[in-house]
Amino acid sequence: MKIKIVHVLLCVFALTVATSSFILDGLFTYPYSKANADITALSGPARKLPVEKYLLFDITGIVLGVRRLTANMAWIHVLQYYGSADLSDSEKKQPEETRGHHNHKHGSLYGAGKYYDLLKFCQRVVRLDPFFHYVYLYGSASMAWNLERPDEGLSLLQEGIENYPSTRPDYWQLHLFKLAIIYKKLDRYADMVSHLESAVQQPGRPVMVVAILANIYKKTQNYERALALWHDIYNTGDADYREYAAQQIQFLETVTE
Amino acid sequence: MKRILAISYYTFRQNVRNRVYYVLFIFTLIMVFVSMLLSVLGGEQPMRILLDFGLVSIEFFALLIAIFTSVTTITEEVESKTIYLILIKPIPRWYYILGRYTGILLSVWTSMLLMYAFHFLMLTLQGWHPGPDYLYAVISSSLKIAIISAVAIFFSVFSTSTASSLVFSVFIWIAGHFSTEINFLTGKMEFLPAKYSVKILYYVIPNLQYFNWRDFLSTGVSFFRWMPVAVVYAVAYIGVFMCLSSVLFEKKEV
Repeated sequence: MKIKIVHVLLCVFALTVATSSFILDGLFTYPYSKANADITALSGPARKLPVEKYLLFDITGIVLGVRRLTANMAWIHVLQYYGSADLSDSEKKQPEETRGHHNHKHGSLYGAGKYYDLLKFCQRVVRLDPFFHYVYLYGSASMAWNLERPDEGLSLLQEGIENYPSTRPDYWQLHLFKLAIIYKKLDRYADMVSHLESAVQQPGRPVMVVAILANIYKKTQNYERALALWHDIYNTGDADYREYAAQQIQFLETVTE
Repeated sequence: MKRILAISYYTFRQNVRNRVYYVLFIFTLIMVFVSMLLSVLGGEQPMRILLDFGLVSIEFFALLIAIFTSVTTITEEVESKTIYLILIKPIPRWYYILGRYTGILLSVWTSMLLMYAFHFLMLTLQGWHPGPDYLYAVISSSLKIAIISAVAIFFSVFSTSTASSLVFSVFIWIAGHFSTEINFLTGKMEFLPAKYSVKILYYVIPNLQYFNWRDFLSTGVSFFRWMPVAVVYAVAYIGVFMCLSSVLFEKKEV
């Protein structure tokens, strides 16, 4: 049998594939290995993908190599869930003006409800993409201040503290939020406010946190500081807050005159 | 070399005149535009959604174009007998395979380049600050497409049916992204024959996770940690499939 150049090349290429494969085995680190080990853990603390209903969808996303996109879809789902009415039967019977009023959306039924699944939905996002920093901040602040469930906020933050790389420049924000929530739990109001003040100065903080702080100031009759914060919110140009911020500015300007 | 380039150029022209090519190209542009609408739903994270959705859409449609053209080009020529026009000339058959492959790759990469330019423009208009990560994502996706095109060419020579070639190529694409999990499974297996069988499968199937940079954007890993070796791996993998296709095509009666 005549050996052709193609056969020689085939052997050379096959050897190169084998060699580079072994080298790559040592060099390549799958960035989500830790999250995957958590998801596939059959025992231990509840670290699996938390919403069984979407398990197939999420696993498909991971397997097809579109993990970030799947996390984005899950994030949109969080916003849709938290941005729409989630009324328990007893709340539905109450007049609208007496229902819980939150800081994230201001439509007729937006933000009304208990949102008991919010923690699970946020966990779903960060277990798909543990590097999605914003979700830790947004989710924990919503649970701690809007829904008055600080323990749930803390558990989400704890997951961030464990899984988010501590070498990142924005890692410390997780600790800042954690402290603020702990002070809230301990009723140490002044400490909580000072930590929230630091938090809202940071780039990439959710606008919702600024709104939370502005509402706290308004509630404690620190109208000037509340007004300054609502001005900041208005200037972000965030469509969800613009109208409500304008209303607040109008009201606070009247009060401070 | 001249003859390979001639086949390559002919394939490129043939592909860019194909209606399917245009339909997929236009559809991708629409998808990238749709991602702009989707990004509105992302609250304060619109850029992330626009970026990811666009990158995935471009890669997905490039995959469709690559697989479709790779699988149909040779099969159709054999069926319509137009392949004789080339093969009656005194050129080795592997010239034909290589020419076809480079032509297909050139046409797919051209469409990808245009789609990425459109996507990049949209991101920049939205106020996004470009970084090297985008370039890395483009490079790694292009390598992925190059590998899968070589695999699809191989299956189109190996199989007589277009449908089965399509299915095999898509299977390799999925399995290639599943490689990390396959490796993870081998670590858990205790039954040695099964463990080694799966391990062999892990090394035989191209590991496309090496080139999945668009999924590692915010993870903080360094592109240069493994990518230079991964480029060698990709070129060698393409080489293997080109050689296998050439050997098979040599033996094939057309």
